[in-house]
Amino acid sequence: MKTILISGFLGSGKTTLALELARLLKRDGVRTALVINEVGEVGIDADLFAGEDRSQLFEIFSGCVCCQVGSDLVETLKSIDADESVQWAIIEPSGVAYTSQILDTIGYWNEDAHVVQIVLIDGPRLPSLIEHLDNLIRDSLHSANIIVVSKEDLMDPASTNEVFRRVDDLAPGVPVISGDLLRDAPRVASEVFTRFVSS
Amino acid sequence: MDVEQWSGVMLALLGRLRDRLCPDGLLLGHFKASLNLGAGFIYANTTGEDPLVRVSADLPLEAPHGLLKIALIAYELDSKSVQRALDEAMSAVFEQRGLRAEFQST
Repeated sequence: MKTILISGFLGSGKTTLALELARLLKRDGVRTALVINEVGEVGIDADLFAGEDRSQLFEIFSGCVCCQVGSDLVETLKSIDADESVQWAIIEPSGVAYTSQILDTIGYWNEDAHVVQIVLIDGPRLPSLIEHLDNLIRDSLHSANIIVVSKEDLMDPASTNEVFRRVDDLAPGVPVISGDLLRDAPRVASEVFTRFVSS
Repeated sequence: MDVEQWSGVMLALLGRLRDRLCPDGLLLGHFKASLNLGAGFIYANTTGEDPLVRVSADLPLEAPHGLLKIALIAYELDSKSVQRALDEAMSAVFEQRGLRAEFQST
């Protein structure tokens, strides 16, 4: 089983992208599991999957998978992987998770795991996030395969250019795409899918 | 109440919370809510900008009641202020629309 890890700060569009990628995989007849981690005891993100096939939806609550409930993630991946018909797992950690720790945790499940790491950057909030949560943002970008700058519609062209410049400073050479995930999620997901998943 | 009215409730709730807790629009967090109306969901969220709402339901949908879940997660906000703001927002929005709520906190 291969995995897609969708990292990004709170509210950056992780669930929207996860949903679109799951749809693309399903379209191609690929059985896919979705693992969603929310901090707290009530799940809200999973409600966005209303109307979709929820049989392969796994929710992990009561803490963040990068620390308190890391073992839950390992057990969840083990149990999904036991079903050999599942070819991909999409992992959406909480928006406060340290990506490097999640990658370590995935390594406990399978040290040779194939992980496509997508990082969502909330464009308009990037300056503020770097100012207040520099370590968290840098950590998420450290091993990204692709970076998606979201909320492009809320930025003027100069701000967008500045965000791209800062992202390139933080993660030189990593491909960056942008979009308004609320209206444009299928295009963004399709680009990610074509580059890293369908091949 | 129809979907539009319920969506208005969600937008008003999150709008009030946003105005109260991050009046400058800079939220290091995410406020989100979902309303289960039985035959569909209404989902609303904000990260500091004007709240957005999404409906996943077969329309038209009318529902006399629903299950509302709210999750507020943010840096640099203390939980007492958040709870107070939530209580005030719910009282104001529900009272304005003649709605009655039963609470369950986690």
